[in-house]
Amino acid sequence: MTGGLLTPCLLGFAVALMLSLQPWRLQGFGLALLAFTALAIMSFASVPTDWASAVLMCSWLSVAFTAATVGLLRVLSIAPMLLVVINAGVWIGFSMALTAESSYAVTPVLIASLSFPLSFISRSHHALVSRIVASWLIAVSILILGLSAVTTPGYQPDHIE
Amino acid sequence: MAGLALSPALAHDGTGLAGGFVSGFLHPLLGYDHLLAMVAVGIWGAFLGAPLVVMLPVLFPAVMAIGGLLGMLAVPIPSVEVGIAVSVIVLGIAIAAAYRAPVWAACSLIAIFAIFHGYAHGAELPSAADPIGYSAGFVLSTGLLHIAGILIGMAIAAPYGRSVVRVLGGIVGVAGGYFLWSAIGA
Repeated sequence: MTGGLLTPCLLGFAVALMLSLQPWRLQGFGLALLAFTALAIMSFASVPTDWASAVLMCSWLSVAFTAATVGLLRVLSIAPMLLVVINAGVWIGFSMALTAESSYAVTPVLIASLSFPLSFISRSHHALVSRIVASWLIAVSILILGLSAVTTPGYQPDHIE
Repeated sequence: MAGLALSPALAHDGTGLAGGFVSGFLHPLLGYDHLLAMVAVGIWGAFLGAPLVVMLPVLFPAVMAIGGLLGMLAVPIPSVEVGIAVSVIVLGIAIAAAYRAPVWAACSLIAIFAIFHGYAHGAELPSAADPIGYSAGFVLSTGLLHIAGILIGMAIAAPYGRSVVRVLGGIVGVAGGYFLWSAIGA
């Protein structure tokens, strides 16, 4: 199971969706915390390559978990929100350390900063867009976690061919 | 001539492509059965209004992913293609009849249909060529089709919009009948 930049970027996007439903101040604080956690882990943590599958599995679980907070909980209180952000930062840091080049290190954090423009959409459309997009992230996570456990049949004749 | 007209490739032409994001993204778009069903989910959601306008497009991808896992695992599900065709028929009729299903019924129906559509995607997931990109592509494409359906469904607020949308539902239902005929005949 690989994912390159896709995994940390989608995790960053899930954080953006979650933060977009929070008050402005918490968005800024959450984003700073995410950047600090992710960059600190990426810089200082030494991740054995044997752990790659486990790290990526945890990253995809975090994508699903973070996206689920958007659909189920919407506005979080401060402590759970910080825990979600720290969890995301940890797995972004680990997966970037494993799979990506350092020149792309800030990409997931930049994607998470989309929370600011997203919050305008969330507030004007009752979070409908954020919740729908969060469900896409959950679906992708479920499929990719499944892919880690199952060898897919590949292209056989189509179901209607 | 009748055999050519019933060519299954016309109904669902998303295979034969290499894997990857673009292939996954194109798969629901090139398969008219998937495409009509996804758009119909959005239209029906818009017809039903809150909370289903949000719940249906949120529920569908998550359950579709579970169906995708069943497809990857090759768990036997009878007549997937018939299930997909029936989904198009039922959704088309529901829109044409302006059927205001209760929340539980609409969600149950959509979840069952999502299993069939997800199963078809999962069974065709390429194992060699970027299956992660493929998965992301077809989920994104499916979601965008739902949103397109919601936007079409919003036309019910316009003069004659409700009638136009119901006629569209009827056309979708007829197309579903064609897909069913193709599936049974295949």
